Amino acid sequence: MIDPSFISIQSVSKSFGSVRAVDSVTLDIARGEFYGLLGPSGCGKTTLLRMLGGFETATSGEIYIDGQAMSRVPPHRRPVNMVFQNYAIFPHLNVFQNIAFGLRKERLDKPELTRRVDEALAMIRLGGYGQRAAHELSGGQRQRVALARALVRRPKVLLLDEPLGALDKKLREHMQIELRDLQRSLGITFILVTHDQEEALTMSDRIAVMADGRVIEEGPPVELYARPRTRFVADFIGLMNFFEGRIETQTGDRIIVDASPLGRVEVEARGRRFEAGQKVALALRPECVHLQPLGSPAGARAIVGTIDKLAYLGDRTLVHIVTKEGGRPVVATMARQDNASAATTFPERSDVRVSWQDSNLNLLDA
Amino acid sequence: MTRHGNRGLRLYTTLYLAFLYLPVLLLPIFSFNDSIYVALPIKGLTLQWWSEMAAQTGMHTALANSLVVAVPVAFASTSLGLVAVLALFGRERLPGAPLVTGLFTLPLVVPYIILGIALLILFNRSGIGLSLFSVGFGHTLICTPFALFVLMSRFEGLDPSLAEAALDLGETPWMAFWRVTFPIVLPGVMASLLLTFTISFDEFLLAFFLTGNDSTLPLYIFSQLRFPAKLPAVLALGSAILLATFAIVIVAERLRRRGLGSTGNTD
Repeated sequence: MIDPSFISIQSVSKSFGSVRAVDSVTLDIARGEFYGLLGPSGCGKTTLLRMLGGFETATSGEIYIDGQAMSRVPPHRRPVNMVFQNYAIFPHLNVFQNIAFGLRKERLDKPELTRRVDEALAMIRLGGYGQRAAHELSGGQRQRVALARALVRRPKVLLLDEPLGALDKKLREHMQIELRDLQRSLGITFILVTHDQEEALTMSDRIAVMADGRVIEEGPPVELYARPRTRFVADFIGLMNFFEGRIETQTGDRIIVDASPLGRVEVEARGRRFEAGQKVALALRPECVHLQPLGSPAGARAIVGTIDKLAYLGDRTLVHIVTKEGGRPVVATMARQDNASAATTFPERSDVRVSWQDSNLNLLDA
Repeated sequence: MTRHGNRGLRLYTTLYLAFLYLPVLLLPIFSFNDSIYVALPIKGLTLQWWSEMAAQTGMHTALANSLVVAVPVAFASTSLGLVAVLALFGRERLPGAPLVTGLFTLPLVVPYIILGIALLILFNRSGIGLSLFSVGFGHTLICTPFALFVLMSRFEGLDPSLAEAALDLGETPWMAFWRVTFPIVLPGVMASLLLTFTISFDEFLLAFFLTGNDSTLPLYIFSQLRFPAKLPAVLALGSAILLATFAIVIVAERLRRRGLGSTGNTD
């Protein structure tokens, strides 16, 4: 069952004229995995997805799906189906005809065809919508019809191109969970393209973060968020504090870094080698920055700063702290726990003790 | 000042519309006039000219000839336009598409008289000779740009991912065209058929140059103008053509517009 290279993308590149949209990407995707391709617009993620669907031909490299080389297989013979960004619902057909579109080749008799389409309609919870015209559907319904139309063909792989981009926030969050559940129950490999990091984190088993046509980093959401290996990913996913510093010493996996304004801290090398004096960056998530009133008992790792700005977000408050060393303000998040707001505990301009644990610091190349 | 300006504008508009349509309206009016002279005042109303017109066998032959030319011309030019638009707006955008579009539409600005002479020489020298076929050839040449324009407006709004979705759902490019692209652009195709039919049906100059012994309806009308007594019947025939042409163009434009709303673009 575990087939780690069910889909194998091997040094695939795609150039449009002089532009290298995808630059020697190598990825393995397991059977039944929910895989996210995340990146800013123009990073090549959609081009990569379209190559999986057969709508673009790779300039070099090869894609294997279930052991079969895909470069000479046209879109209509690939064991994949796609949910297009704008859903591409056929405007001249009703919902039933849209979903049944891809079943023509199976030459089902009428009752069997109806059964399959009804089953698909039930799956997306649009039972009884078969006779609706395409233009009568809302955005969320169109999205689900596109999903049913693709899944009714029982593909080995489902490709999703920004499937929730056109929906409003509430519906999007709802559909994220619904898609995730659907994928789990069907066991089909889903490949999701998105520029929305939250969407990628919520749904994916693993994510490849792309930029400039390359895969910058790949891993499970937890790893990418908590232990990014590159500055790009640390910066791209979520909020992050960066502290510039220099390596002092490396003893095995233990590294002492001197970074402003944190001072001397001890971090893990995670298998990497650094030279003494080398410029590095330390990354620390705002939720790993702890704030305490000045009078509280001092821990090992703490500096003093002044509250500069508070940004109230409802469930949490972003606190900007300036230190006497200057530089970028340190950002901390305070979760709302009771009715005491951050503003009363830490009014603007007041001094505060900023503490952290060294184990939450990520050592990155500068 | 504003009121005065408005009145001036209204007068101008009225005069302009009169200039456009009054001469044309004279045709139907005099086709019912009980006199062989086209002159005011109207002497009385009669249907004599209409029945006379309907009884002319020469007219029937000419009408049949016109249809024999216009129907194939409509299909040929629309097919050529469709193939061109598919190449220009297909999945793989043709390099230099704007230049190609320009070249395709160039026949619109070549004077018909030049085109007529050129084709006349071509058909005579090549030994093909002149017939309704050469007329149809010339008409296809001038109708294709119009077909291209009508179809382009239809294809420009067409979402390219619709055809891709059809491929994705297991159809070959050929079947994807017939199951998705063609039904969606069908109103545009109908509009193009009607428009090119009308253009060919009414065309005089190329037909004059390129026909052999057969005359099309416009040529027949022209030949009838030599006989003053036949003029009122010609007016009746002209009115009938006018009416049919208006009806066809209105239907074509309706089809083209209705189509624009349903090309799959939701925004």
